[in-house]
Amino acid sequence: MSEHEGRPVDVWWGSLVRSLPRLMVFALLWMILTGAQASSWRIGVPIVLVATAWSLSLVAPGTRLSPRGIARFVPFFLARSVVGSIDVARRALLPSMPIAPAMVRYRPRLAPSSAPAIFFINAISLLPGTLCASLEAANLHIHVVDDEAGVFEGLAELEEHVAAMFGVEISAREELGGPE
Amino acid sequence: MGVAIVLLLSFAAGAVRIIRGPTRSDRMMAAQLFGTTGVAILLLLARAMEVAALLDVALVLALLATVAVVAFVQRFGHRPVGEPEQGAGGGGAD
Amino acid sequence: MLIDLVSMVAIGAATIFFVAGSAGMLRFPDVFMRLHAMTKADNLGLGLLIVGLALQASSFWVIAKLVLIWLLVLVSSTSASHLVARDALARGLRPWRNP
Repeated sequence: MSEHEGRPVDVWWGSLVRSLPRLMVFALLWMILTGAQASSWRIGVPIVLVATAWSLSLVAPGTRLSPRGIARFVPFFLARSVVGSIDVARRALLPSMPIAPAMVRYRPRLAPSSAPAIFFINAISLLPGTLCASLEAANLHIHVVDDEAGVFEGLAELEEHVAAMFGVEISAREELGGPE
Repeated sequence: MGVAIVLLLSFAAGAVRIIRGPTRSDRMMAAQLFGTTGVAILLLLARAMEVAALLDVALVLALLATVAVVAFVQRFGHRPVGEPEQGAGGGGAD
Repeated sequence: MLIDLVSMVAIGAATIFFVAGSAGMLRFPDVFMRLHAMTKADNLGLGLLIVGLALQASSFWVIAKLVLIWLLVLVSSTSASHLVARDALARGLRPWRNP
């Protein structure tokens, strides 16, 4: 069938296949919300179909997540965010309250305002000691709890994990940024 | 249930900061407080009182918290970069 | 039961993180630091609480719903902290520095 690319039926088939992942996500969401009760599908089937169609009209299918990228990102991110939370909890509870906040700028390598970049910005706030404050064309302004040199290393590593998960190429580490 | 009470106290402490401010940015964190500690309290209550519907309440609260913070920043926030603000008194004192 | 014990430990640890988050909210000197406390400590608190509750859950779908709630809160909380911090910078607030 793939040899006759461009025949109407193949185009139709292709878009059906590409919308399948999203259909499955919505069906799964419905099952979670209803506790997978069989009787709920009388309402669920139309709703899942409408949601899929609506979602496809809002955001065309395109972004493909790499399963290997996800498998590597999840443990990395969980471990780092646990470290980040313990770190900030410790600083908040210690009587001496050891903090030395500063702003730094980081030069992201992911394409600006792409889905991976937005994901990256949100993930930064769960990493140890960093909080994304604002973004301009070329720089992210990041608030750090303790201006330690390890911040840039951690950000670059996170960015590489995010890129791998979304299956996009980014340039090698060069000048990562500096103090503000 | 004891845990729920500790969380309620923690929620109250967060609320103190939101009421006291001092800046408007501090007050905007109310949505985040409801979205995390508020959801946590609901989850505990769902378990302690065995009311499964409270899980759905928590789910809706989590969804609404996202919308609420966007609305807060849109409504009470500073103008986006590029739109100069006329003087400090223009948007009301913090 | 071992599972009950693990569940209780997780919920107990969750409480510590919520308390730490609130301590940060009250003690930290500026809004940026408070955002760190609220975003990181409270989210791990919620994560641990959800682990604790999931261990006691009666069905797979309850666990799935708990995880869905946690993911929603993660997205909501991190976007919120970014928006509030960006807005604070835009209104001219500057981070507190060690004297």
